[in-house]
Amino acid sequence: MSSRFRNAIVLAAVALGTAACDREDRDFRSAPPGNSPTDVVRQSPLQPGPMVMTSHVKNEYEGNAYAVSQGQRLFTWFNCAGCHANGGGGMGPALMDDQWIYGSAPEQIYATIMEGRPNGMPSWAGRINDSQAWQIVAYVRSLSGLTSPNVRSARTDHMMMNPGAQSLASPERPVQSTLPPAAQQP
Amino acid sequence: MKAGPGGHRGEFTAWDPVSMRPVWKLKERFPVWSGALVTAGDVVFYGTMDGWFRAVDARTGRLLWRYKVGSGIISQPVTYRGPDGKQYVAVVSGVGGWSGAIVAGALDPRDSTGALGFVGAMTDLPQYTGKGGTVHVFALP
Repeated sequence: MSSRFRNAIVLAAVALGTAACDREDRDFRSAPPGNSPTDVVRQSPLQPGPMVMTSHVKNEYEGNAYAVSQGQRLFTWFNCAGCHANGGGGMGPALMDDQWIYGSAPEQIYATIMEGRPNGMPSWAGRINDSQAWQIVAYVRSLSGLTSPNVRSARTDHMMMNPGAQSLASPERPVQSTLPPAAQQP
Repeated sequence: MKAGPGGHRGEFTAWDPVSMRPVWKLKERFPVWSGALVTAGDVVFYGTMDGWFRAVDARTGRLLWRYKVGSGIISQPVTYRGPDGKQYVAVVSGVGGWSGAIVAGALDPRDSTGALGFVGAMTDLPQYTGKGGTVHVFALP
């Protein structure tokens, strides 16, 4: 094998390695994704007249394990857990299931955090800065498996319902909620 | 939050306040979140979170009658004399409250910290009852 060829392989390996490290990249300078979307955030494409299709805002933090884990810390620090527990809900709705009252897209969750929602959800505008809000958005979406499992942050021990629940061998899927037999229409 | 020793989560107990000890106990599957009602005829009415409305003998705890309602009972049964002179017993079925939040709020049972931890003790409640809100009125014979 020529040394030039070997160097090329080493270079390619280094390039691959550094590319894979984006997952843990801590970018302190870039603007947060879709800095305060100026358009009205829609919860549904349905409306009077012709249907308007809008594209979803891409949240750069969703592919970044550091940002997601920061979102998890902020989720605790801003006491999201006070109402939403660790995703299972309480006074507020569950976040780890597949039910989304105001939409599951990143900009919809962002709007929920920043504008608040009726019957309990306060507006956090002016209290959480944009990049922190988007980190929380990334974490909230990771709770129900809407983001890649590769960047998911670990849950705390008391959340494990059974051993190995966190292992990638048995990744969680959002369970389809079904009505209990007692609640079904006869 | 976990069930007590032996998997106990609820018990309906009649106390003798003079001798300070229970007279009889009825073990229930879930916490007995409803109130209790005793009529002058020594009949006790109470409801369970899995949707049974029960009448038991106040002296012995023997089950006299039970009726399955559409949703768990956490309300206070009441009794009254109707305009027709008959005695009635009324109760609201419709599960909720802290212990029933897993059903009323459609919480996720995978997070045992939900509803400040009560979800962890009530993960099977959705298999026994759904949401509801019905007033049931029974006429006493």
